[in-house]
Amino acid sequence: MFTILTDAAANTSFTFANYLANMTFGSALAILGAFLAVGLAGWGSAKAVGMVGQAAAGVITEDPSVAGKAIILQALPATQGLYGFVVAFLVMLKGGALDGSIFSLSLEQGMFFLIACLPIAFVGYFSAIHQAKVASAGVQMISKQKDKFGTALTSAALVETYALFSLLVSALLVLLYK
Amino acid sequence: MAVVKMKKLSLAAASCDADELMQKLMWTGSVEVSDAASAFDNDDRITPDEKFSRKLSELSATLSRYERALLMLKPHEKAPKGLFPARAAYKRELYDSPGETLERASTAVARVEEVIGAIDDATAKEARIKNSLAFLAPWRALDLKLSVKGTESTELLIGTLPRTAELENVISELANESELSLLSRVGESENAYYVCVFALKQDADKVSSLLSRKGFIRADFSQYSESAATEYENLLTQSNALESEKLGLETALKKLAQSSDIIRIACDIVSTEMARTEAQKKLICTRSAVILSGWIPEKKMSTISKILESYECFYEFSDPEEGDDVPVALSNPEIAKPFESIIDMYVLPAYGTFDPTVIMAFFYFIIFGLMLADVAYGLILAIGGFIALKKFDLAKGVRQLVKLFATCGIACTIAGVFLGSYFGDLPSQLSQAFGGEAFTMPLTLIDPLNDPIMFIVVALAVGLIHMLAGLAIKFYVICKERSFFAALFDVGGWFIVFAGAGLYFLIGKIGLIVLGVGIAVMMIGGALSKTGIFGRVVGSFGALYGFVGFASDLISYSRIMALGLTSAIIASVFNILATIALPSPIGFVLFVIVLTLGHLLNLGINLIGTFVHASRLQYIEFFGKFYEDGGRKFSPLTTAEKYTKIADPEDRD
Repeated sequence: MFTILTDAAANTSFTFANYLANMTFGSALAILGAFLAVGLAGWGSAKAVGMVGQAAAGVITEDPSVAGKAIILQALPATQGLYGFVVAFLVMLKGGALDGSIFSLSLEQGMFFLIACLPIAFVGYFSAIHQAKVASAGVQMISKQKDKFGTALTSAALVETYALFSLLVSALLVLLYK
Repeated sequence: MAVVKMKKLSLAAASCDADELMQKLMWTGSVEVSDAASAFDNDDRITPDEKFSRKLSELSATLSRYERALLMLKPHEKAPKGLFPARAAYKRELYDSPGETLERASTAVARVEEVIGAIDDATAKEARIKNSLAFLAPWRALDLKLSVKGTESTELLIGTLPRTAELENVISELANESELSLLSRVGESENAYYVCVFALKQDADKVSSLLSRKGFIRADFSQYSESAATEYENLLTQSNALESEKLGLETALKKLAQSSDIIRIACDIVSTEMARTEAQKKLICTRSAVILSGWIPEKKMSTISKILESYECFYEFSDPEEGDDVPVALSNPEIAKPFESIIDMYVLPAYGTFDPTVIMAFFYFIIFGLMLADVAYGLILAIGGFIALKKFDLAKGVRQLVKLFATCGIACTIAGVFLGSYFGDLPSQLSQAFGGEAFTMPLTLIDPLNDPIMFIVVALAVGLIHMLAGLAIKFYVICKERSFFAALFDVGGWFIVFAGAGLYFLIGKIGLIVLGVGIAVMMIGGALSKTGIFGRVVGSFGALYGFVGFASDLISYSRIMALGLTSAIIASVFNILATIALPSPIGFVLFVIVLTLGHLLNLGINLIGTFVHASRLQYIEFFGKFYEDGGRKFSPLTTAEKYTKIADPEDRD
């Protein structure tokens, strides 16, 4: 902060806009974006895996032979957290957290990364929860009819499509940023 | 690559041959018995199936006894080697004449039950003794025979007082009530005093009512006669005796565990017999004949008739008729067989329709490879899978799944070369850790991190070809069922449209004309499928709406890139962590640990995702174009091979 002020003092045309543009506050925004991506999507996934886990536990106590299939269904909504992590990592990579240059991102750059993170953060959170509902229903279904595993898996995977799309949008925005 | 053609088998045989005949048919593993008897439920000309029902319930009781015995013996068995211990193999004679085996198993099981019963008894007795010991323990200081109730003129009251009652107060109140009474304290615990009280017989009532007001509870010694200490010692000896008896029984059980193999065979023999009885229950039985109707695969006709020739019976094979519930089995070349499990997980195609296994296998292979494109992961899957197939005795369904992953591992390896991924970007990371430059591997065509757009283009191109293949199948099916023109107007338009688009990019404007023709064909097709002027207009424009569906299906293939990117990025994260402390000595330890755990985790998570999404692209985007579902799986009468397997199976598909 001090260096900005001294730089600004040296600058003859010191304006508020200039001050904002020179602020390295951008790195904080980029990190906030990474946090939202990994945090919100991960929160959703954690909640979702927990929900399916509870449904699975009930079913497995009655019929232990469905355990393997139930656990695969439980793992399905874990991927949103993974996607969030991927985007957060890309922000760190592109923003320069790994070589230290993230500490000189401008406000505009930081804002870009923050906004690029939002699709996977929000869609990831909600799609994880909704996928958990379908997967829980699927666990109930395979406890009654074991051969319906494919149907249970597919209908849960349908929900994930939108998390995948938002991952693509977030990841491409970050990857293609020059 | 087809849905297997089925023949209906009608068979009438003499009752006396029925058991043997069913056994023989079971060995072929290719006869599905239809339920014919239930149609005659209330007809008294045929014997009701009571005999079979009774036999079934007997068998299932036996089976559950045997399985319980196995469960009991399990902890005493020597631990089997490996994760999936091999099932013992036995010759068919054993199943055909199981008398001796069953007898030995039944003796063993009876003995197991006896020993288990004895152990249970001993355990129950031990628990009772423990209770008594706990009850007697505080009274050991009482130097009196427990049978003593008092003397000629005194009454003896033994019992507990709660700690809340002040002992001093009780003693002084007692002295007020009856001068010649005596309270002595035997012992005390956390919440009670153990006391014994002498009182004169004439004062006994007064004393006992005072005591019960104070919360006195009389101890019940009715089953003891000696002093508490002696009784306690006796019980302790008994308990020790029980302990050693139990040890002896456990040893006996350990010895019995040697016969668990024979119980295992017996389990399979009994379940096989149950399956056979279940099938026999479906036959129509008159006094001297049985009538069977069922389904067999067409190419098994000669095998079946060879068996039937040797019996006095009448039989006939006929084609399925309209309205028959024909079971569905798929027949595919060995390499495509594992992919049948993908279709099994969905719904089987209806009888007589197209079996897409081979074409689907091809695309599944490519899509799976692109989603998990990594040379190292692919090799782990392929080599690990093939080793598992060789070394472990896996159940049939698991075996097919392992084979599927092993095959797809090859695809991952090939795709990994083109995408330059070897444990992600491990080679480049290693070079950087040792002070070298970052680099991309030779032979890399697309680097997903630097050229993501190209990766998406490849994903969508694969998707386009996949969907066109689906449409081509539909074209073929309609051609075969109806006519070329029906097919042309139904799906042909799509091909003309895409040919036109292609020509436009390659040659120029002439492509647009072809494209226009294609759209016209589609609109005509849409109009033909409806009736009435209004309907036809709507139908023709509705056909154009198909473009929206097609486009959204196509976009769905971008998931190939998303999943491919995910596995590559997570791999790279672990590589960064693993190489962080290189080249120090601790760094090498860290490198090995992080690399192994990290990549196993990445492979595991992405394997599930890839499996699910590669399947989904088949079910929704590909099958959606042509698939006619609703087949019922062919479930022939066959032997149970849960614990054992047949050493000399007949040729089966």
